This record gives sequence, structure tokens and C-alpha cells, in this order.
Amino acid sequence: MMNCKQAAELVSQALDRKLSLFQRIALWFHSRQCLLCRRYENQTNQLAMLVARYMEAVQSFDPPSEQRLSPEFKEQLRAQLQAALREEDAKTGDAQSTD
Amino acid sequence: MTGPTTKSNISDPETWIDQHGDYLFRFAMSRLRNEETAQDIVQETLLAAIRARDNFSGKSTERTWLTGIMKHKIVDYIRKAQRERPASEFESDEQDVDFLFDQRGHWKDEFAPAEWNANPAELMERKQFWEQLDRCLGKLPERLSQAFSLRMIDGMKTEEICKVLDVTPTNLWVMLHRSRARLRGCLEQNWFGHEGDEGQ
Repeated sequence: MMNCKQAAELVSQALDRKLSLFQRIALWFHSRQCLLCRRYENQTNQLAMLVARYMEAVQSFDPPSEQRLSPEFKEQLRAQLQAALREEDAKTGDAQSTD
Repeated sequence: MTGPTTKSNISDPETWIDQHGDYLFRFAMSRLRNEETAQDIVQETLLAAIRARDNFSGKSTERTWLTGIMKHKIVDYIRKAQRERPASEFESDEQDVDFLFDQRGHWKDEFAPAEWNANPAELMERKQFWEQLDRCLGKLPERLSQAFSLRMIDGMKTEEICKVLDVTPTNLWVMLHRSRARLRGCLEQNWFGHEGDEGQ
């Protein structure tokens, strides 16, 4: 008989691979009698759906200040991009337009 | 400087920093959790984008395009870091989630999944929820968090992740299970258990 620890492992694996028929049946039997594992399965699946939208969600909110680039780093980066652009222009023969 | 008309429909690279810099940085931070590394990745990404900007087709948005470049940079970084790591590290049991269960494999009372009242669809709109999720992801051990992000946020295939992290599928399933169990527990403790207290 499957216990909760094994059930939780299969709940997770079901998101990463196709469980065998035997595993699916064993999980189903266990969950039928176990409220906690039914909850665990629901919540794990809900979190999976939420997390899949992580990028979309964080894009719609301003990042907290500790997750922004510092002004100093931005300045430094700007200088590097400018240098890289000049280099690229020189390569493609647009050198006369730089300066 | 480059004339704006010469490069199809892409904006001047210098504007990328203001338009997408913070976003890219946050993206890198969510994966790498180290400010210096994240800054390096942002820089590498933008420099690579300058070299590749003729390939930008305009089919996706500029940000999506830059994000795509950055994802590759992050995977490369993780793969390299992986090779420099001692091989024994996976064996460490401190990451396992056996503590959630008693000797017979039943949920221990204090870790048993509680009922959640929140409606997951509404959570999308809650800034605080995503910040809490970030904090919970940040508590995962580094490798678990990398495996989890590649799989659940980027939706990468398990076979590809196995190659990047240099683990077997069985190892990866274990890592993902541990991540999910820990993340669920952290959110229950810090969000779902107390959502009513927040008063908003």
C-alpha cells in the first residue's frame, strides 16, 4: 500500500514524465482515501500553473529597488554598448558615420 | 552614432538599458541570485544582442528577443558552474524532504497540507504574492532553485535540464520534487496560512 511520502513523490513526477499505469492506479487509490494527499496534489498543480506565469506576472509590476540595476552600473553599461556599437560600425564599413 | 533607420525595426541599443535593463536584471537575479553574476549576464546579453541585431525579425517584441538571448546566457553559465562543482554534492541529504513525514511515511501534523482559501486566479494580480514567491524561491538551495526555474518557469524539457545540470532523470525528478515540496511549504507558511491577516 502506498504511503503519503511515496504519493507526494508521484504527484511531483506526474508533472515531469508519464507515470506507469500501475503508479497512476496506486496514486489514485491512495488519494481517494487521503484528504491530505488530495490537497497536496491540488496545491502542487495550482502552484505549477501559477509559476508558469511568473515572467508574465513580474513584468506587470515594478521591480523592488533591490532588483534594479544601479545608476552607476547603467552608466558603465552604456559606455560599453557605445564602444561595441562603434566597433560594429567600423566592421561594417560605416566608420565615417561614427565619432 | 548609428542612424536609426539602418537597422530594421529595432530601437537604438542605447535605449535598451532604460527600457529593458531592470527587467533583464530581475530575470537574471531570479535565476542566479547573485547581483554581480546577474549584472554580468545582463551585460553579456546586451553585447551579444548588438552583434546579433540584424537577426531581429520583429516577429517577437524586442524584450522577448532580448530575454531569449539571456536565457541562453544563463543556461551556459549554469552549465559551466556545474562543471566546477564537486560531484558529491547531490548526495547531501540536507536537501531532502523526508522531515515532512513520520516513520510510516504519513504527513507529520505540523507539515500536513492545510486548506487554502485563496483563489489562484486572483493571485496573478497580487504584487505581494509574487514578491513572497520570490522570497520562497530564494530559500531553495541553489541547485534546486536552478532546476525548478528551468523546468517550471522556462518550461524547459527534462532531458535538456538533465544535460545542463549533468544529472540523471531520476536525480532531476528528485530535485524537482524537493523544490516543489519546499516551495509549497514556504508559501503555505508565509502566504496561504495568513492571507486573511493582511487586511487588504
